[in-house]
Amino acid sequence: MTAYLIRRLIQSVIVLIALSMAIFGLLYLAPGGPLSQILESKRQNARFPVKPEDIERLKKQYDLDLPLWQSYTRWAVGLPDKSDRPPRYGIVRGDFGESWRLSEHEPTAKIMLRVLPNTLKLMLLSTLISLLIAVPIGIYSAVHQYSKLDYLVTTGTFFGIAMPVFWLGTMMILLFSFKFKEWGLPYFPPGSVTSLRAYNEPILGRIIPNSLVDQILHIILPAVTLSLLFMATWSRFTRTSMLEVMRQDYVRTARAKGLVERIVIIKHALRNALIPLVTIVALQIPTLFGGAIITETIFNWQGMGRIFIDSLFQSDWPVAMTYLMLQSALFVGANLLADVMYTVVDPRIRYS
Amino acid sequence: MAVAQPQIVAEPLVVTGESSQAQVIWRRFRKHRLAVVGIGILFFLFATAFLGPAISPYDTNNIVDTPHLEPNAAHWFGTDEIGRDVLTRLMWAGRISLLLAAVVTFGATLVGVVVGASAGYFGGWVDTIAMRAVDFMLSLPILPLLLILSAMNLRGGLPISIPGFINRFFAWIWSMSPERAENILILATILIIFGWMSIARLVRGQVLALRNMDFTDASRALGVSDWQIIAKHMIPNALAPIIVSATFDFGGVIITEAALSFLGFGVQNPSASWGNMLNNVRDFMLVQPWRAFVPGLTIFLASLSFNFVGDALRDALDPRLKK
Repeated sequence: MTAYLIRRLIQSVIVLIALSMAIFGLLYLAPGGPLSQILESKRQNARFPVKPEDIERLKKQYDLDLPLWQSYTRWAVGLPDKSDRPPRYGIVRGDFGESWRLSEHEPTAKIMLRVLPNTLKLMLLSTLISLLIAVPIGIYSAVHQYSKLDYLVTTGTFFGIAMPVFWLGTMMILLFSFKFKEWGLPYFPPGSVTSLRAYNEPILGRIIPNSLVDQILHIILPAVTLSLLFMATWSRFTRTSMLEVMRQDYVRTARAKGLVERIVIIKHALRNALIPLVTIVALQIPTLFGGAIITETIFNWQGMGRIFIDSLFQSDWPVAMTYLMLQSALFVGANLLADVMYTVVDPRIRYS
Repeated sequence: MAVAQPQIVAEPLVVTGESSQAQVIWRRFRKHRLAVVGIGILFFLFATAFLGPAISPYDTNNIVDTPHLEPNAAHWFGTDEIGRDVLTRLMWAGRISLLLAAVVTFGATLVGVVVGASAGYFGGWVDTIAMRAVDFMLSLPILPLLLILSAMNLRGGLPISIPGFINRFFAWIWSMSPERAENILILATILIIFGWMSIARLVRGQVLALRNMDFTDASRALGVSDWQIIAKHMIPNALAPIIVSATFDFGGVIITEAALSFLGFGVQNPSASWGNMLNNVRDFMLVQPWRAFVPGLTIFLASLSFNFVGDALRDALDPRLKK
């Protein structure tokens, strides 16, 4: 097990290094270099024309005047040191570089940390919502296999998988924000994490910005949208897993002992059926972050995904690279975690 | 006499082999009513996308009427914020979105089949390298990568170029400039690069099982070359799961492309795609809610239909089911 884990860990590190090299290289080799977009926008500002020495200065500031490999190693591990510029510590020591555009000169890691709570809040709530709905549906569907509701659920999962999140989110805003407001019903604000000004809601009365009610009203629409993304997969998974477990000998034994069906299902079958679900949820943590990119954009939710999209629009490559590296690390970590959890929750599985 | 009888019984099966197999597949397929509806929807979408623009009296990028018109007899889905006909744009968007998804699905399937079949057939280091590559690609966060690469593509920063005649061909179909078409085709290439892995895995598994069968040994003994065995025996025998997987992929690619275009990194204005039409309407949702509803519903229906059809094909093409 330990040997397997060490091998997997080394593989993961290689994956991260290879990915960082590929993306860094692509950015660096782009025609005009990563600065082209920034220079273009500065050039359009006629009052402050860009002088060649400005370009040189910018290039030096962002390590773009160095050969590709030096630029990369300074970004990745902070070496080699250059006497003519401030030291870099490299992403391995938590120095992801500074933002170019979104929040000039602020360390990108700091930007990410600032918006991380928003993303985590959204993700935790939507994971909770999808589990609370998907697991009972999956169990019911398995226990009453081939019933009307089971058929509805299995067909429904197709709808869930084919549903474009961005359309669902847009429709939610249209209905629950705009139309509800029009109809004089309590409505959900169409975006942002909190409001800037106090506003009046029918029935609920005056809402103070950043109060608990305000925060709840803001998070519900994005959280529900994001959770629908996983409900289909997770309920189908619970169903399959339950069906498999219900066929096992020990379940038959439990029934033969004369246990009440409810006890058999909850205490015997469900506990084992949830084992694979745990790993699936772990595996989908990064997907949740990915899905959050779209959801956060629709609902103008200031999270990591939203920052990533903004950084791409403004060619703020350090921020985009930071997000990508954090995402990849998370992805690789979640894969590893799922493997480990598998052996912990299911002692029958052994890695050699 | 008693010996000859089974041969006579066996004869019709051989003679009508081609058509009866298709009939069997269709009979099994037909049982999935939703899939039959799905086929109908897909047929309708493809027909409107490829024939519709010819019938429509309007052009996709021309301002034809007052902006923000309600749906009426002249403009079934109204006009958009600058006065273009929404229905016409929707059909042109379908042409871009569906053809792009078809190109990506075909490309990804082709790459996946070639990689998977060689990995499974040759084994050894070919297999190791191919499967390591699959593992590597699958351990990457695809959506952020697609976004960052598409963003670089829009700034002209990707070292990929498409041969001119291909660009001109697609530019002609999509009625846009070759540069714009190349941009979309590079996007397709990116989607192919990140889309071949599951098919490769699937084909490898199939070929591994087929490789050790007697007919493979027989072909090899007859002196048939490796590539001919792969092309003539391995791939045709693995065709059913490949088709099923490609059908599901088609639906997935439609969603992915729409998501990228919606976020602003896929097909760019003024060219219409279902995803960017949905994005464009975000500021006008209160005045023209149907314009947000219709393109999204189209994406949803297209993807849903491919999923239903794929599911039905999985049953219909399963050789273990004989009915």
